[in-house]
Amino acid sequence: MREYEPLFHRRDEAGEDLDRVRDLFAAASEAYLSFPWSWMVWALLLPAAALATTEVALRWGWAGGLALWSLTILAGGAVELLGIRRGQRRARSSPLAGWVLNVQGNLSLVALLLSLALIAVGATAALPGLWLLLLGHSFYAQGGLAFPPFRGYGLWLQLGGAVALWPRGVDPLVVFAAVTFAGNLWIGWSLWRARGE
Amino acid sequence: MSPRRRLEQPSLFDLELDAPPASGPAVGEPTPAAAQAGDDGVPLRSRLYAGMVDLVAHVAVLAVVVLGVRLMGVAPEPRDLPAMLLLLLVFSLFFTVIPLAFWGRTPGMAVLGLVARCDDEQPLTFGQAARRWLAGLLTVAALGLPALLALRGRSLADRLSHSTLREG
Repeated sequence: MREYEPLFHRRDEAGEDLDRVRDLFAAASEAYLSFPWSWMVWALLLPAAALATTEVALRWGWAGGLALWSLTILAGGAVELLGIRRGQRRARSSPLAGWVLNVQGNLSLVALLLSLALIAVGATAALPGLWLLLLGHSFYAQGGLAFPPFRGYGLWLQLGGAVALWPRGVDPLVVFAAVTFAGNLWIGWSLWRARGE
Repeated sequence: MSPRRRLEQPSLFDLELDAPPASGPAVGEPTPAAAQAGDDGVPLRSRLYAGMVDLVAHVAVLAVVVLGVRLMGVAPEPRDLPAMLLLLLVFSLFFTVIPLAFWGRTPGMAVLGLVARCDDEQPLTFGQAARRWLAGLLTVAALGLPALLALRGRSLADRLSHSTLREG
């Protein structure tokens, strides 16, 4: 040991711990991040649904909006499942992936309750901003451990959420469309590049 | 040592030096309990109760949707039913497939202490979880009649997904 070497390598140990956690998260998410096309599909589906919402709601009322978003999530979910199956022919969960999903499920519950509260007070225009902020938080905090570009993606969604909540001169659904289009394309492209490396 | 590792590893005080080495089935080999459950099958009553718990969750979601719509000052009409059913379908997909693929059980199965496993004792794949969900939809669409198949030990979901429901 040299004279100026610290007795305890706290920073190095912390770095190693974090690296180990990142490795575990990356391994647990491998089956779910092997198909860039599902992100490209979300990049089309989400903006299309957001831009169509006002028109559909005007024509068919709240039920039309509900059906539009249900179909969007159903279509995106089907592509996602297909991707998982292609990524790993017999894709099975791991305890870590299950834990992450548990936390995300809890966050979704928060989002749903806050959404109901916003609907109750007639502030439906704040819904896109709320979901962008919460999704961004999830990707920034947990997704970034599995795949580093998710950190930037999370911040991008949160920036979009902040803009969407701006009280004047901003159409929150247009902001939602722009943010999800660019963000999902970027992640799809990042996955494509990561697969090639 | 991290708290989690402390929980997973037996401490010195947990070990009995005179105790015989743990004997059990080899990895991949069904446990006696699992084998027995497989032979006898899970009782139809347990399957029905688990299905009813899941059904109550779906009804609760429908109630929340109706409440949300009323909070917006709109009264739901019969022509709005298809949109609500579509939302229920999406909820059902996530409510069933994800817990089955990740934990081997829906919330209703968890309440009843049931777990779904592949015929080779492995956890379900996403494909198998999706097929169990489809079988559930078919059962509801056929007014529960396919549930009678479970009287012979294997339900429609078991047969479609090549998996088995066990107690555990």
